[in-house]
Amino acid sequence: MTRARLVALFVLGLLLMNFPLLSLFSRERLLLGMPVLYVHLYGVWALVIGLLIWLMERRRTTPPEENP
Amino acid sequence: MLQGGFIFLVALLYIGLLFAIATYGDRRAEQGRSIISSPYIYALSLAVYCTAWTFYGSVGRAASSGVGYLPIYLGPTLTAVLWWMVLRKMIRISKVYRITSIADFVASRYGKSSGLAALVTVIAVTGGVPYIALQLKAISVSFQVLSGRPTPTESLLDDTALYVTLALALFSILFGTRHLDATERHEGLVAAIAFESLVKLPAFVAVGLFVTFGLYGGPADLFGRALSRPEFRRLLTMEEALGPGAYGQWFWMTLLAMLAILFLPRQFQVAVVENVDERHLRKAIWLFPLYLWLINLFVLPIALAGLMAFPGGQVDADMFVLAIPLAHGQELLALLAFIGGFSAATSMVIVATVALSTMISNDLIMPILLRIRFLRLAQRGRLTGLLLGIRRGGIVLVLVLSYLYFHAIAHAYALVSIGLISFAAVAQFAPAILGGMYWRRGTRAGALCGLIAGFLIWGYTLPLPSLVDAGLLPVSFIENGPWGVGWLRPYQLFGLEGFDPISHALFWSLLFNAGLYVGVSLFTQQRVEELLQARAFVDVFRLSGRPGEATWRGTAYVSDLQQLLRRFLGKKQADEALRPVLAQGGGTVTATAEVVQHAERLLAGAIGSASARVLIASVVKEEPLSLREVMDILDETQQVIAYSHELERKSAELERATRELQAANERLKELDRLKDEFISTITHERRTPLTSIRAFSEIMHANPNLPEVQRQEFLGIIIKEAERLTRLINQVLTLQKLESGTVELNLEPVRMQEVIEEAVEAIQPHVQFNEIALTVSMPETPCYVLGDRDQLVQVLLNLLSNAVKFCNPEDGRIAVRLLVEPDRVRVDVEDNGPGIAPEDQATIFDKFRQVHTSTGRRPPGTGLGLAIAQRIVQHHHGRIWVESEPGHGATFSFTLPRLPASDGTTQPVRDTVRLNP
Repeated sequence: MTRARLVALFVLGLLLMNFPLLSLFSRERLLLGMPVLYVHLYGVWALVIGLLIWLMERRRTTPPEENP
Repeated sequence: MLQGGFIFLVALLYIGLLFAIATYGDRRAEQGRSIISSPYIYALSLAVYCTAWTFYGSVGRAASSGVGYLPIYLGPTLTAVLWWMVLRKMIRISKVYRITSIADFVASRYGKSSGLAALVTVIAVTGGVPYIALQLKAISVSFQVLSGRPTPTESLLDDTALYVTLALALFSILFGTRHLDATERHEGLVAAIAFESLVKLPAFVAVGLFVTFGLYGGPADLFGRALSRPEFRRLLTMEEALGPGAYGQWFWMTLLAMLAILFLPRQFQVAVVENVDERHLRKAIWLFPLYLWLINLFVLPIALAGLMAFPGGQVDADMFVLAIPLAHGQELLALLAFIGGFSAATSMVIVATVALSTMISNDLIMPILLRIRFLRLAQRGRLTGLLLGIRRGGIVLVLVLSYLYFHAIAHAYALVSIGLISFAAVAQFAPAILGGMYWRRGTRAGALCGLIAGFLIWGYTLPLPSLVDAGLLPVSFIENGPWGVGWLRPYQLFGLEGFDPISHALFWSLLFNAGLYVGVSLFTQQRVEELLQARAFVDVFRLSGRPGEATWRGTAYVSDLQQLLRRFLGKKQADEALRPVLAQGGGTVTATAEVVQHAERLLAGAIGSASARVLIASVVKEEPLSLREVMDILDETQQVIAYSHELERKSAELERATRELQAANERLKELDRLKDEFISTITHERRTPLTSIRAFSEIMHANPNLPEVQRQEFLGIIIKEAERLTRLINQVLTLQKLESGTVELNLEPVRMQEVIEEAVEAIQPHVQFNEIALTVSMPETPCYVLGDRDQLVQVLLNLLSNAVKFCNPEDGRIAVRLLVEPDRVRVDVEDNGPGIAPEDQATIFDKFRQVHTSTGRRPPGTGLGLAIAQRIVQHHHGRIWVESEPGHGATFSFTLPRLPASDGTTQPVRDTVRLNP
């Protein structure tokens, strides 16, 4: 199950960090006083890290699967 | 300005500190108390990814192309998400088969091929040298900036980079080639690298904080001021900052970095070879991206601040990290930044040279030596010294090449451009390695063709044109192609336009590389050794932990193997490593296949799988297995595995069946208990009417002259008791029919209002007798359910008589409500009796499960009414339940699926209230 979730997270990250979704944030505008593209990329990056922490550090009820 | 001599001293002191840490790490390892056995140290050592390129180059790139520096760190973050599958498999394979370099990994997978090992080594060294040169350049330039020397000095002896290179060579030799080991791990070195990661991150963040909060009033202020200038606005958007094809370039860079983090020799060294425990990966998976995130956080602010501080390009943007603190008189901060950049550069140089030198000795030189002077080498005494000598030579060679490259070419380039060329070189390993790990069919010929094609195209499209900038080739080579052949232009190969050089090179090289790997693999046959290794790699998780099959046949003597191992590992290590297998196998004179295979793996750890194969073959008498035989052995193993899976499955089934049986047994016991209770209740309930019938009959029998009035009264009682008896028996029969499923429901559309009215009508006498107030509320619009009318009346009647029985004796109130929901109808019967304790609510519908009153007496009734009501509702596909709070009455509710109204409309509910009495 963890494997499937990791793959889904990978796809999510890939989509959010690339064309065409990325182009939505490629604007000459500021958000919280910072360029919106900068905020988006670091935000998505932090989101991926946060979800990784959640996936890898949750209390595990089942032993990690052996066969990837 | 800081004095050059002082800075140099600080740099040397820093390297001295590294020596101390590494020595301590090695000493602790020898005592068996590892200091690097921690997921945090492991994650920090992975951060060797962040080199001088990150420390200085990212800012430089951000100054020219906005967020263009980010794919190099987003890519590894994405790869880290998949590490649990991919990197863990690489680690497991390398641990099981004692693989100590990326060249060995490829070679081992494709049948321990020394040709592939050499090819991968050549690619890795070719790609690695410019990258190491980049670090030397960064050290040299940062030294110049910090000491305020304007131009590189002419005299070689004055060059800081030279002394630093020498110091690093010494470090790598001392801690990278201290001894020969079958696992090839260097604890001291890893400890030093992890320490360096702890230096460069705070150093960079300190500069970032100083710039953002010291020079400006926070990020908003910094960005606001920078963007008030129109010339910086172009850094805000992808299209403006990266130029046409921005998104394509972005994607290819991300892919490039995704591959680099797995296949850079130094990353393979720290992530796979130096890994102490596979489980450390679990933390490293998020710690490493977090490290990247932190170290990149201030790149753009520093770049913008630098652009504002030094307009017109007076200072190389690559050096903003140093130049800004210096310009503001913060010499200490600048020195810290220098040490940070120095640590980033040195850590990369150390790990890369050690990784490359292992490859050079094990995968390039040794196989050649074994081949050329094979007979003499095999008969010489201890070879440990020779091997270590070759490695030390390799370290020096790599550093000398890098130093020369730095002086010849690197000065013309920005840090990032050089790094990307190296990345593109190691990306060529991707098809052979990823394919080899997940695709059994991949053959040696396929890997060889793919790698050669990829490497050639890489060389033609990236480093070759860079010779033009260095002045070694004419400009027309790039503009018109060699000999004026337009489709051979290195940046527009085959006429492909609209790509930047890196994306262009990556696209063509990976296309040919992967295409040939797959294509050739599909049309070539694997040899025996390849077949075995392909399986060993792809199925590593399934196979490790199981005894290996005997895929070796021949005659071997333990003493020969022991001799061989001692020559390469030293006597102590060799004997220790062999002991467990010998003890297990019991073989003392002739070695079993298992011992031979184990010895080969041990040897592979020290000198690479290809050389190990050749050496083992030289001391044993092998009878080669035919492809047919190997297939048979593999099939057999496959069958054993399948059989064991089958067994596991069967045992799981058995377990499940046992559980089911146990549950059934429990249920039976419970039923048995209920049956006893049932009989005792029935007996009790029947005896009461029977006793009175009998008593009154006897009275009348014994007194024939009883007055008529009294006789009538007694007969009345007898009739009533007989009726009660009949009712009880009828209820038991009904329940039994309901439970056995033999009851036939006479299904028809039933109007719920009618059901309620009929039941209320029937209970009316009891209600009036007990002086209970009964209210009924239901909508006027008829609502229908599909059901058996009489049975439904029975349900309601049972609930009502239950309510009557338990109502408050003083001020009894019962409310009946019909609620119409979109797809079901619901009936509530509410009383104001004593209520039902929560623990009894679940069992109240069981047969004879009468809730005992507070006085401990059994309440009146048979205890079957609710059970019957439940069974009937269930037969109508409905649900029945009770809600109650002790002391506040109880509400019995049931729902039934609703038949759609004929006119399809639902009218608002209007209450019709009848009050009784």
